[in-house]
Amino acid sequence: MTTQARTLRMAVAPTGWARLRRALGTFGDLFFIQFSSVRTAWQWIFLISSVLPLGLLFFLSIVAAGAHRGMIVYFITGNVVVALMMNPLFMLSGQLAWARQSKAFDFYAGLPISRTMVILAAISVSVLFSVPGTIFMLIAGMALFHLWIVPSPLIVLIVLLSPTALSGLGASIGILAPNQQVAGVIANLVMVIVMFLSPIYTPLSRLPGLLQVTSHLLPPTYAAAGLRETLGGHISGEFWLDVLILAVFSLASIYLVTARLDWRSR
Amino acid sequence: MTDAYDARDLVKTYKSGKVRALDGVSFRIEEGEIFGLLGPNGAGKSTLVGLITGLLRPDSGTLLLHGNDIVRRPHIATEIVSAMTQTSLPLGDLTVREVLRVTGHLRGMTRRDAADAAESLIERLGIAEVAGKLLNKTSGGQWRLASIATALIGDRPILVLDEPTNELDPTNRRMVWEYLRRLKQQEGRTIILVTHNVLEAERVVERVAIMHRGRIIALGTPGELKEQVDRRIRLEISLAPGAERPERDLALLGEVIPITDRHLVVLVPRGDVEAAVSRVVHQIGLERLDDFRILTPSLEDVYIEITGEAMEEAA
Repeated sequence: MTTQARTLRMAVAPTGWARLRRALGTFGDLFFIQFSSVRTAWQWIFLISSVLPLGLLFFLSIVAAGAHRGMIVYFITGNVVVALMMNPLFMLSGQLAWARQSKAFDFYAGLPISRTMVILAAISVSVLFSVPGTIFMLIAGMALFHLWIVPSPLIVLIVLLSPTALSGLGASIGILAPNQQVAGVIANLVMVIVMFLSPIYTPLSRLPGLLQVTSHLLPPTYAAAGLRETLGGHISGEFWLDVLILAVFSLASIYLVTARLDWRSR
Repeated sequence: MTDAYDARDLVKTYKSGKVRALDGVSFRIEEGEIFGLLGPNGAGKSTLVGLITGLLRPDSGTLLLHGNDIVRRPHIATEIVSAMTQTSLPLGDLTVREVLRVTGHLRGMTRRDAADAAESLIERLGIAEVAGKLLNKTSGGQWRLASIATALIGDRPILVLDEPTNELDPTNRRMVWEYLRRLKQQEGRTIILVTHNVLEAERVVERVAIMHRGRIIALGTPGELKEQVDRRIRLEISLAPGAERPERDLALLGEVIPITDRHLVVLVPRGDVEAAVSRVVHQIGLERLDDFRILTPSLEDVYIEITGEAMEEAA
């Protein structure tokens, strides 16, 4: 193809279905690239994302033995939320920090693709790798507390939206941290702060006054509330509000990260 | 001939202007030309590559790619230019074949075309035996060839290759240079080569820019650049063991530069070469010599002389 033809092709960019098909194809390739980079280490990702919530679960099963059903649901869902937070905060931040450090973004920036697609693919892989740990944590929690509940199928929405909503935070750490090591340290710090500022193990009313207000700004609050509804046997309007808020957090996350990642302006 | 690139007064600084990586660089590269970019480390070559591939924006200056302003619209470069840089590909956990197919598809080829093009490149660059291997598990030379293939897939009219023959054995080096020459001749692709390997580059480049401290200090065909430096012919002489050094005879030929006791170089004015050769053969005598060669200045000599002068001036 001549340079003139190529320039002409750019002027006549695909529209409608052709554009969607091209976008899906690009997403598929980028997902494959990102997936490949973690497929050989999935066991480690699973182990690391399970250690902290599993430890917390054991601790709670000992100190809160004999807790009533309502509290047990808080413990189980709280741990699932912690498991859901691990990948977007640690895996995604580490991956993006490394990509910046090793100038891997130069490869993507040299291709006729949008950075939104690259970020979406990275987030999608991170969300996908959250699923096994989440299921494991749910089953482990029920087994430890001897409380077997069949969750509503709508739990899928929470499992997919919660890590996506937090991915903005993880991706921002990855993009802003000077290197992968610092990104890891910051992710740890953020994890602890977010975990203890959100009402994931206790009802909102038990948090100190100021935290009751600030917790509304954190996605885990809605993730935990939504999860509790899916285990409670009755889906109310509040569940859909939680889903909506998580969806808004997710979109805002992706938008903010994409806007900040200006790979051509260094 | 149209211009592939037209760059005017490009300035690029880092660290809030403290480091001036490019300091008013201007050049033009014609379509279908093999253009060499030479220069010592820190000369600004990588920054310039970043600019011409649309990865970096200059602080000031204009840069047209086939008439398109890629400072304002850098994404145009992604449709016209493909590059092989020194940075690692984020595709290390894919096999070489997957890397090529995925890259081809991301550059807009259909999956079938990308697969066909991948197989063709695998065959032409002789990497069939590692095609099923993860890119991360290949050797340095194999990785380099796979990177060249990655830059080639997608049929871009402009190729930017940063040190393409590093880590390659002599056979593969020759194969790569030959392949690039064929690409230019048969497909009319514009190729920009960034290299330290001046001697090898001389075989393929048509024009050269020599960079130093963010500026282009010499620009022209290898022949034109050679005209700018010492035009004397080098007579390299190796004396036979035990042979007496013919100081007086040699001094009559030109400026004598002793290298070792038995090896020396005589710089002879171009017009006197025939007489000098006759003098060596008849007066000194071939029986006193182990080896005797006549050399014109190479691009490497030009490069060393020009960058050396620039360094002295800077000092």
